[in-house]
Amino acid sequence: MAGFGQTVRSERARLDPLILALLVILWAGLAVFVLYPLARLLAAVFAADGSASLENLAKVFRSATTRKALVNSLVLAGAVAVSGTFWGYLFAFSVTRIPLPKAFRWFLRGVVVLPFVSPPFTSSIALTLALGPGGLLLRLFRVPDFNLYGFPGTWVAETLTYFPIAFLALSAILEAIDPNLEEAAASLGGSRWRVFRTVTLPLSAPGIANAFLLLFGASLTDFATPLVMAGHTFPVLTTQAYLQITGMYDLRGGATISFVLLLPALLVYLLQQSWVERKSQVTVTGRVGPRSAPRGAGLIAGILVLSAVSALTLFILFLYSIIFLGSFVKVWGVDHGLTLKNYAYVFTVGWKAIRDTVLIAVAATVLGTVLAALTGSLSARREVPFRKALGFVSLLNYILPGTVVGIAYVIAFNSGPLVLTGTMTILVALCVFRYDAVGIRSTEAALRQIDPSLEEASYSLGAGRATTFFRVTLPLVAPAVAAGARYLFVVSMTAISATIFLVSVRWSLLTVRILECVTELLFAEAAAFSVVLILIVFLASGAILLLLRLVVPQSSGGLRRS
Amino acid sequence: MSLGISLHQLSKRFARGKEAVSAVDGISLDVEAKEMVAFLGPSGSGKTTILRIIAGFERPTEGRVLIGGQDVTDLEANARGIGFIFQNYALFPHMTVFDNVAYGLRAKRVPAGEIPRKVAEILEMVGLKGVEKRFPNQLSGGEQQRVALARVFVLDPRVLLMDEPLANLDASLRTRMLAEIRRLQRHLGTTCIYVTHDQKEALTLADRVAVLNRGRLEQVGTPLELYEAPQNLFVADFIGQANLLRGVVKAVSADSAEISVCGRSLRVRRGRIETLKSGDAAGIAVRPSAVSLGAAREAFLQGRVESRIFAGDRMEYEIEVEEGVLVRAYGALPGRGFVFSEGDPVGIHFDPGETMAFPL
Ligand SMILES: Nc1ncnc2c1ncn2[C@@H]1O[C@H](COP(=O)(O)OP(=O)(O)O)[C@@H](O)[C@H]1O
Ligand SMILES: [Mg+2]
Repeated sequence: MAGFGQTVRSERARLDPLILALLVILWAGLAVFVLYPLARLLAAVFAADGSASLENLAKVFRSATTRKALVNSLVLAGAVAVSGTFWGYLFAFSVTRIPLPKAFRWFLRGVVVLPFVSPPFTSSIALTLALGPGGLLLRLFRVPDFNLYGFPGTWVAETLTYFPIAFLALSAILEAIDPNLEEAAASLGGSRWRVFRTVTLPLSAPGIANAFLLLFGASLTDFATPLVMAGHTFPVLTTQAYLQITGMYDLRGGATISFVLLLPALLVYLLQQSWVERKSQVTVTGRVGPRSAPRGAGLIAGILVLSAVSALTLFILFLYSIIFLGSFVKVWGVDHGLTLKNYAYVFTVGWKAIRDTVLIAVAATVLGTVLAALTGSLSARREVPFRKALGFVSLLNYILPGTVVGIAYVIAFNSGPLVLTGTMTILVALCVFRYDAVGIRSTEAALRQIDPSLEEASYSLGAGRATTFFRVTLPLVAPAVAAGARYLFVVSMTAISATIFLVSVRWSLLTVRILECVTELLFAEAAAFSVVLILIVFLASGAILLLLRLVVPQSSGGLRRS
Repeated sequence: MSLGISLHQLSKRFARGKEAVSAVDGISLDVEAKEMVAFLGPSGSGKTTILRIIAGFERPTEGRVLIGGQDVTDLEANARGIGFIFQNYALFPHMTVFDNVAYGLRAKRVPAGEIPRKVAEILEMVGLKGVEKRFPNQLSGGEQQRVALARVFVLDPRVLLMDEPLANLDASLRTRMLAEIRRLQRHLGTTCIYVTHDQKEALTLADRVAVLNRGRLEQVGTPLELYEAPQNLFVADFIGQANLLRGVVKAVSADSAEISVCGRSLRVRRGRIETLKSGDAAGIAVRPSAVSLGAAREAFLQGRVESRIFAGDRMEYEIEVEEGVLVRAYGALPGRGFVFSEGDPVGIHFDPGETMAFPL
């Protein structure tokens, strides 16, 4: 793999034949699995009766349900973005600005990452068990008729699922704000509230905007939660597109609805990217010398924030324990006797889904990691032609809503020159070309961060190209590549919005099985599936970390920060 | 074994947009074996680029590099046997001190049994015993610097190149490390090029100093030669401090020139007298130590004290002799001689033996 190591300062090198070959392969893959499906989708949307027309879009907009779904999608996304950013900020503030015992901080971070490793229905199922018909909390507080389904349930479930995204974005930026700035403001006579209002909050504003847009996009394109929680009274675009295809067998109509979803999603993405660029200018001070500890929020504010954060943390833990306990009861809400029959069900009836999912996820992780490392290192090299285009097209499937990508794959690979419907290939390809994005970005960023003088030092100490690559470059990027691999595995295991269009009798997925259980009201079985899935994800995550240690023993040092 | 370095007509141009920026411009220089030469020049004068060309990280646009008489211009960096100390040290962050120092030995395939002994020896020599297992980010700046030195010296390099190695250290540590580097270089007899923009470092450390300006070599010589006999105004100004004044040449004789400065006539014997022509503009350089102060009336130039600073062992004055023209001078401390106050009128004399003139 001469594809890595960048020689930043050297003259514009001639293009290595090896690199050229890799580029050709890469572009071929992108053409087939990114550009071609998208082109087929657009063709389906903008063609009627064999000629270009806007008739499909017009037809879709004539339907009152679709118009309502568009409005609902936007309203829901706005609501989730507000509430998720709010909770994300509270958690981020607690972790970065309130002096807490280290263990408690780690605990908070641990609770926050739970939704990342859970199947997408986890909070929906747990909320249903708690607050749905005959739910635990409803009976506890003797609330007779409370309708969870529709907007409120979807909103709460999505907030719980997505606020960790806001937490990550905001804690990163709050950590980057030098506490010295806050101390300076305080020493100029600002009260704690004033310092927060005039220094901390404005400096974290780009992070807030970023978090808001990320959450807006996540909610807008979310499929799993509304499918379970929204019900008939609250249609949104993702579920409408799905129902159009699976219920009405109208592929073209579904594609057109997904296209309606695409426009706001792209807009939000572009806005978010421009914010991120602005944020990197703000990123605060080249740190010189030691940084002081944060000042804290003051007693009353601290207690208020911590109470809120603790309350939500407890609620999340409560929901996860419902899932866990629910997987061991006979019939939830009716017979709470303990049993292992749900797990027996999972490992007999559900065994095929488990096997298929793990197989697909492993294949996608291996292939996707190689692809991500290659793409990342190629687009970090200055002499590679069209490297901007390469970066953009590689990320395209990731930027597009899952519903759009799934429908595009159905259209592209159901008919035409390349028929892949019902195969494992199509599921793996979807995961690889959609979820390698994180690995591409982290690899590229890691390569850019390696000071060229490190590689030069290695050469001047007498090491050749290969030694330099394996002893210096690789250990320094390995953690980034491994992070990409972990992400790939987790999302390949938990994805549904795109994959649901591609499952078949031959290849089934855990998430789809969970969905089937939920629609058949087999909540205990759904809970058992969820627990198993979470366990697999945890184990695999650990295995990848272990592998990283084995392959590059020194890489633990690479993770150290000065 | 230590070898000399020869640079022949070295040039380097970088493409910046469409135009070419000349970073190094026709440099020729010989560094003797075991010699320590400092490259001194302001930032952007091309010091780093020359060093990187010698090390093999950069190819020259024109010119050749010879090490021990062998042309190495087309040799890869890892085949040159050159030690390079980076300004930021470039220690491998993912390796312990031991692994950092052993890196070059392993690359050279030194038998594994010998490595621990060699590493221990060199760490002892740079005063770093007992930190083998630490990672670079667990070391202080001075310790990191020592690891960088050990990592290079353990290979017994034929040539050592150092790019502003002390720039990231604080003042007292810098003085200590300077002495240390000098001791190690003498002890091991390594040929060394030391790049710095700090004239004090260059003058105290080097056998010879090469003064660079905008990619060109202005002058090479021992520190004393540069100080005593600068060849142009840039060197006169850059080495030691100097007051620079504009004048016009009125007459030139075999060993002196008469130059009019601030409306007065001044006889100058040093500098590049032989290149001056009557009627030309000339630059006058007078070191503050060659400026004496006295009563205003019978002096060569009259001025007013613009500012006065206590500089530890002396007073430093800035004296305005004409609108916008300031002359720096030193004076006695209070209690040991006369002390002027700000605003005082003052008379100025230039020591004729210490005044230098150059063509402009
Ligand atoms: N890789 C490069 N590309 C373009 N210009 C460069 C590069 N390296 C150095 N330069 C330019 O060459 C000149 C000399 O730089 P350098 O050798 O780093 O100076 P110094 O080390 O004396 O400060 C500067 O004008 C700098 O901008
Ligand atoms: Mg430099």
